[in-house]
Amino acid sequence: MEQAIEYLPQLLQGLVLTVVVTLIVMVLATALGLLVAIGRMSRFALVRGPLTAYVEFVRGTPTLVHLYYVFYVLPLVGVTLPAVLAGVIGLTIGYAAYLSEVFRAAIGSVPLVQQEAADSLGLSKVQSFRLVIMPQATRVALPPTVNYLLSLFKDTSLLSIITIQELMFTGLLIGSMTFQYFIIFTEVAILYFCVCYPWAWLARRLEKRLSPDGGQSTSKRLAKTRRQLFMSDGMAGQK
Amino acid sequence: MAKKDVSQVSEMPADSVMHVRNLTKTFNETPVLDDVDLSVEKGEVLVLLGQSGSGKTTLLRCLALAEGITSGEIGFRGQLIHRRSMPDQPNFSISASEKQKLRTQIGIVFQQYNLFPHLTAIQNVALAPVHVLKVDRDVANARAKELLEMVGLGSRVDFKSHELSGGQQQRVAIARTLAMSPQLLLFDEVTSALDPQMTAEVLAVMKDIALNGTTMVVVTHEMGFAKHVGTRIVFMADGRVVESGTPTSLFENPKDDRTKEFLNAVLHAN
Repeated sequence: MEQAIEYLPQLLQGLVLTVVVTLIVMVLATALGLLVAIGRMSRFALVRGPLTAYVEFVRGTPTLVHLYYVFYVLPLVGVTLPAVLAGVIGLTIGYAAYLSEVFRAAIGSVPLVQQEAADSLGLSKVQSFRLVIMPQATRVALPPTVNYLLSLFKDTSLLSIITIQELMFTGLLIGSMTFQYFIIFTEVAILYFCVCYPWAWLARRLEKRLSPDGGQSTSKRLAKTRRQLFMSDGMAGQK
Repeated sequence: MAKKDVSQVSEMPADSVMHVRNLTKTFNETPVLDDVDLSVEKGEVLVLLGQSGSGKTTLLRCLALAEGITSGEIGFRGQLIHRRSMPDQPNFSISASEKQKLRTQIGIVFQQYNLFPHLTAIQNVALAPVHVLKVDRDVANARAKELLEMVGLGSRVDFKSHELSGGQQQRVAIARTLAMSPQLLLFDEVTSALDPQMTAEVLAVMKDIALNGTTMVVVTHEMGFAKHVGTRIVFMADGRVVESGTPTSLFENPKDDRTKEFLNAVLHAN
């Protein structure tokens, strides 16, 4: 127990880096993923083609290979990056591709007639995307996006292999000096879990609140439908 | 392309809000509209009747500028919008931004309402005035509330579409279209998905709008509405306009066999 407390400050330091890297990759991958998703809906095959190739290739290769490529192969052609930057780029490459697929599916899930209705009101393409399509797509995209971000958080442990001192690497480091692997990796696991679990809980709450019917349970919805059925008309003014 | 006269439509009656001439549209070589001529006059309530597949909805969608055409001409208030494959006349099409502007003047109400589900009733109605017409948000909201009251939904302004019945949603959709103060209002079988009571609610609203002198083109199967609110009936079959006239003349003295057959079937079914 004393040992566990002794290792904690160092491990927490690692955790901070893990969270920071996750947040940076999250922002970059979300922005890039959205651009890729929009690009893949382009009229121009010259835009669509390369983006599709990128997504398919990345989805068919392990994250660890992306990391090695950026960290070990790029220096061979003269591009040497600091480890943390290489890690951020390596993870962003993969997650931007995964998220772009989520966004593309979400945008595709908004019925075509919504675009038609927006067109008929004279909204421009940009306006209808921003005001009509995006808000509806966001609801659909949110749960899978949060799940991907959870696995991103856990995937940052791969960065230990390219010498970034995040939580996993810190654990390995202390372990190799003290051989207290049981204590250390139990602590590491608990720390990962302490971040992941509230996140997942938050995701569920958010998903509920954003769903079109306000996240009501089935029984509540049924009760409301019944009320509506027995109500004569909206004109009566009851709420 | 000739320079000046291309977009001028010479022989249009002064009161025409919208017209189509020699309009033909084919889907995979199958003609859906076949050489249709139609002019919508200011203030009239034009009812399009005909069996399913007769081309009514396609014609309405052409008027809404939501469909491309194979050949023919479409014009709005004396201004040419499209001309394609017309003998001895150059092809013409307005730009995308001009088209977008025109669409604010042509309102359409859809069969499936197509409300924006993430917005409340009042947000649905005020969205386009704020973002397209650049009306001040408070002014747009006040006007939206007025319109919702007019369609009998004053107590439902903050409801989202899933909290409203079909008839209520359709009335919000009508208010949303009216908020743009269109010159022409198109209705595409707007009561087909509704039960008789909700249909009555929606038709009552449409009747009010018609009585205000709004120019309307209505595709419907509601014969009562056609007879009592319509000012002109156009009967279509096989993508062509077969017969047109006042409701009285068409209902009581149909000339074409297909019109007779249709009216017989519909009126006796009721």
